[in-house]
Order: sequence, then structure tokens, then C-alpha cells
Amino acid sequence: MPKYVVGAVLVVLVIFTSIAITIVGGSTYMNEIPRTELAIEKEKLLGHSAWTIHDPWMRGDDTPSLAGKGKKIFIREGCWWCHTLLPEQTQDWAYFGEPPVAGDVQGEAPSLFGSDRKAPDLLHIASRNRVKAWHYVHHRDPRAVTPGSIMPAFTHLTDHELDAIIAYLDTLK
Amino acid sequence: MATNILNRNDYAEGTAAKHFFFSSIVMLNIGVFLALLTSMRLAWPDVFPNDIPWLHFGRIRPVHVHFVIFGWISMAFAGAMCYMAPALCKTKLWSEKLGVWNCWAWNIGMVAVFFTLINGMTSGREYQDLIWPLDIYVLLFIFAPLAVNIWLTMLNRQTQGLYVTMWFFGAALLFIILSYFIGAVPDLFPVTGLAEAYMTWWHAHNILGLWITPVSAAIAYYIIPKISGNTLYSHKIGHLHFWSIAAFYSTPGAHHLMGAPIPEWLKSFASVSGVLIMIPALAFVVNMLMTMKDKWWMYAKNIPLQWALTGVLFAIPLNIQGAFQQTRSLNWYIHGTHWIVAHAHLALLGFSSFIEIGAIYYGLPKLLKRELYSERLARLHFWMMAIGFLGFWSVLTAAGLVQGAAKVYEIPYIQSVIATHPYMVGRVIFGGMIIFAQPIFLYNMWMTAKYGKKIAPEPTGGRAPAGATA
Repeated sequence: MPKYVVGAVLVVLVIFTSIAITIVGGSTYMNEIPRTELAIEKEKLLGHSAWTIHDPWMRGDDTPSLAGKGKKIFIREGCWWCHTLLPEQTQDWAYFGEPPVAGDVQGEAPSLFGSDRKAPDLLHIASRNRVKAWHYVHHRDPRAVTPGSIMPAFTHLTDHELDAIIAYLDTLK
Repeated sequence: MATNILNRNDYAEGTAAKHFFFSSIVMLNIGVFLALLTSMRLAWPDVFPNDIPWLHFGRIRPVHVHFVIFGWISMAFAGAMCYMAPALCKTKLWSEKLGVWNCWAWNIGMVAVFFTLINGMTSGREYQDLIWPLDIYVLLFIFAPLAVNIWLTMLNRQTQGLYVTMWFFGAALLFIILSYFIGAVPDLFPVTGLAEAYMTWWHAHNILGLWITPVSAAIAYYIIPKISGNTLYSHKIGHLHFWSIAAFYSTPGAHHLMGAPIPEWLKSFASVSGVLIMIPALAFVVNMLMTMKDKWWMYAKNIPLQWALTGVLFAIPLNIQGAFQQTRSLNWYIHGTHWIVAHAHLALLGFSSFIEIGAIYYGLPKLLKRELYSERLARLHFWMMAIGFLGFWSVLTAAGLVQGAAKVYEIPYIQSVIATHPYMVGRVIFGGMIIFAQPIFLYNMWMTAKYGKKIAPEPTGGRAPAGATA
């Protein structure tokens, strides 16, 4: 057999071993973990809670709840590029709340952990702040309630869209 | 016959490579300009009208990432492949026509990427942000035709063996297609929760580890021996580099999820294979630096070599950071901070882009059969980018350490935002140097194509000998 065929076969084997590790690693224990509020609601409507082919338009019209629509807007506006949904397993706990567990994202896609935190983690925001009026003002004029904040003011969102985002934040306990 | 249509020799040799190189320079300019907008947003949040959603940080950031990775870097790779593969295989590119179509399909794809992402149409999964129709487009019209073209060129070769560069080109195209498909699975099928998160990050790291790193290295393996005139220091070390990349670099995706509730053994697995990337990294750097033996005077003289070797030197801090960031102790300190942004730019802007720019300064004048329009502009480009990048990297690394300290000492979050503000201003200034260097590059290359002094083709140059393809 030519050497490059042996090489190609080895490369493919390495890749597929890696994929097998991915699948086994990612799906271990999955069935025993309860799903999130949003996932359960979406599953009632669609039969499954994952990404659907209608999603790309990001209007959130296919989601059954206001909070579901809020998550779409959270993704569409790129909130998650600064606000992670993954507190560090370190001293952060004191500030951002409990460490994450699989149940926080079970049944949801995308998981929105984020990687580039330039703003407070929001996984447990509803445990810290459920004041709707505060969130309204914060989105319209962040520096009015948080001096020194570098969050842009989201003046282009409609009131209804803000309602949806705040409903979503309220599910993050 | 499809083969006949694609193979009919309508285009001169090197047309596809020229298309790719010029497109990549344009993409680079767009990509870095978007970066200027985002960095200004971080320094002065109300600098642009907030009523325009297109100018919001969260809308522009994914466009920037996709333009630099899939526009600039990947198109420069395609250009380098279309230029180097025929030279190393002593044959013609399998189809210049397919290459040119591939390039235009790629550019059209990037326009679609721009308008979807800037309108907020996204899958919400980092490095896999595209909506599912575009995922399919990228696979079918961007990566697949490139792979077919390069693989068939390899099969048609007139040489007995394959040089290191070709191993990496051939394998990386296989890697990226497999990885991209697996990364797109959660957009196409119901995969949720931690499985979705892990697949996202497995793919995210493979773009870097199995596509950008090996192909950048492959380009250095070509241009450094070629320009210095030395033979490659060691093919055995090249083997070590190649196989250890495949073995250790395809699995450390979980290091992005060290804080996530994924299985602990998976994190340990990622840590161990992550630290082992020191093996391919050192093999590559040693091989390149030893190839320069007795020719170091050329580092200051030769422009393409200056770029490529600087890229190789950036690989040293890059891989030391990269390896040890994957250990849990370092990871919890710096995860999610500006340090990581600095590291990512060291990889893509320092290591990778410097090598590709070197490849373009080397290859494009040869393809155009003209001399470089202005050496002084090329030097200005180099120093603006080198100084800008080092400053940019330093301020972001410092800002990351401030954020890490704030995290550990449980300081209210807003205090870390206020403390890192001066660094964000520094980021705009140094980033601005990088950004304003790129139009100089585009201008220089455009003028080379239009007004560069014509040169006669070298008898034993980068292109295939005349008799090889009859």
C-alpha cells in the first residue's frame, strides 16, 4: 500500500477517535439530568428543544414564551460576547453565585457559555437582581445605574424586545 | 465531462493564487477595520450612535472574527496552497478554473457572512456563528473545491515523495472539512446542552489547532528554506511535528470549558494533550530556526523572510502560553479575561498572519512577474504591525491580569471594568497602528501589480519547470 494511503487512514483514525471521545464525553450521564424551564416549554411546542431550521432569522417568533424570545434577542444582539453564562469555579462563587451544573443548560441550544468576559456573569442574575425597572433603565442608559459601565446603550430595541430580554434574565436563577 | 470543463486551460498558471492573495488582502483590511470599531466601543461605549444596531459591539465582533479567520487567513492559505502545491509537485495546479471559481464563491460567501452576522442572524455558537445554510455553503463551495484542487494536484505530481509542506496542506484540508462538519452538527440536528457546548468548543479549537497552526507552519516550511537557500534542517523533526499535531492537537477543545460542568476526566484529558502541544511547537520552531543556520543576516535584509521568521519567533511565546493555559491552575486565573484575547491575537495576528504576509510578499510579486513596488512601504508595514502588535498584546495581557486579580480578590465587577479602562484606550491606539498598516499593504500590492518593474521568470524559480507538464 502506498505510504500516503497509510498516512491518510491513520489521520482519519485519529480524527474519529477524537470524535468518539467528543460524543462519549459530551453525552455521559445526559439522560438523568433535568431540563431547563426554557427547554421544557420549547419541547412542548416542537417535540424537541434544540436549534430549529427556522432559527436563523433570529426573530424569536417560533419560541412559545416571552423568555424564549428573550434568549433569541440575547443571542441576536450579542449580549453573550461580554456577559458569560459560566461563572468560574473559583472565588467567583461569592460574587456570581453557585458554580454551573449540567442542569443549567440541559436541553438548550446554544448553550451560550461565552469565553470573553468583559461584564458580570449572568447565569444567576435572577438570584441577584430581579428589579424590572432597574433592568429597563440599565438597557436604555447603563451608566445611569452603573457608573463606569462600558455597556453600550441599547436604544434600538423596542419595549417589547426589552420585556422579552428581562423575562429571559428572570429565568436565570 | 466535468473534468474537461474544469481542466480546460483557459487561465494562465498562477491565476487562482493571484485571485486568492488579492482577495485575502482585501478581507484583511475589512477584518481589521471592524476590529477598530469594536475596540473603540470598549474604550468609549457611546462613541457610535446607539440607534444603529449594525454599529453595536455584539453585532460587529463575530463579523470581525469570521473575516480574519475565514476571509483573511483561510484565503491567504488557499492562495499559498495554489501557489506552492504546483511548485512542490512539479506540475500545474489541477484546475486554475476551479481555483478561480472557488475564490469568487468564497468572496460571495463572505458577503453573505457579513450581512447575516451584522443583522444578528447567527447560531449563537462561538467560531461556528454562521446560520446553518451558510455552514453548508462554506463546506460545499469554500473548503470542498479547495481540497479537491489541492488533493488532485498532489496525485498528479511529478515528484516521487512529498515535501513537509504538502503533508500539512493535504491533511489540514481533511481536518478542516471534518471538523467544520462536526462543528455544524448542532445547527443541523437536535444536539443540546453540554454535548452542544463541547462540540462547539471542540470545533472552535480545531480551527486553530488543525487548520490555522499546521497550514501556517506549512507555509513557513516552504518559504524559509526557499528564501534562505538552505535545505530544511531535518525531515525527521518535520515528521515529529506532523504526527504530534495530529495526535495532540485534535483533542484539547475542553480546555475552553474548564469551568463548565463537563466530565472531569475530559478536562484532564484536554489538559494533558494540551500541554503535549509543546512537542509539535518546539519541533517546528527548532526546525525553522536551525534551517536559518549561517543565513541570519538575511533576517534584516529580506522582507518576506523578515515577516515569516518573526511569525516563527512569535510561535515561541504563543505555544508556551497555549500549553500552560490548559493546566487547571493557570486556566482558572485567566479564563475569560483579556489575557485570552491577547493570546488569541498572538496566534492569529502574531504567528499566523506574519507568516502569511511573508508568503504574500514572496509569492505575489513572483506570480505577477514584477518586482515589489516599494520596499520602504513594506518596511513601514512591518514596523507598524510589529510595534502595534507588541503594544496591543502587552496592554491586553496586563488588562487580563488585572481582571484575574479582581476575580480572585472578589472585588465588585465594575471595579475591574474601571481599572481596565486605560488598557482599552491603549488597545485602540496600538490596534490602530495595526489597522492603518493594512491599507499600506493593499496599496503596495496593487501598485506592484500595476507599475512594478517587470522581471524575467527565473529559470529555476518557484514555478514548475517548463518540461514538467508538457
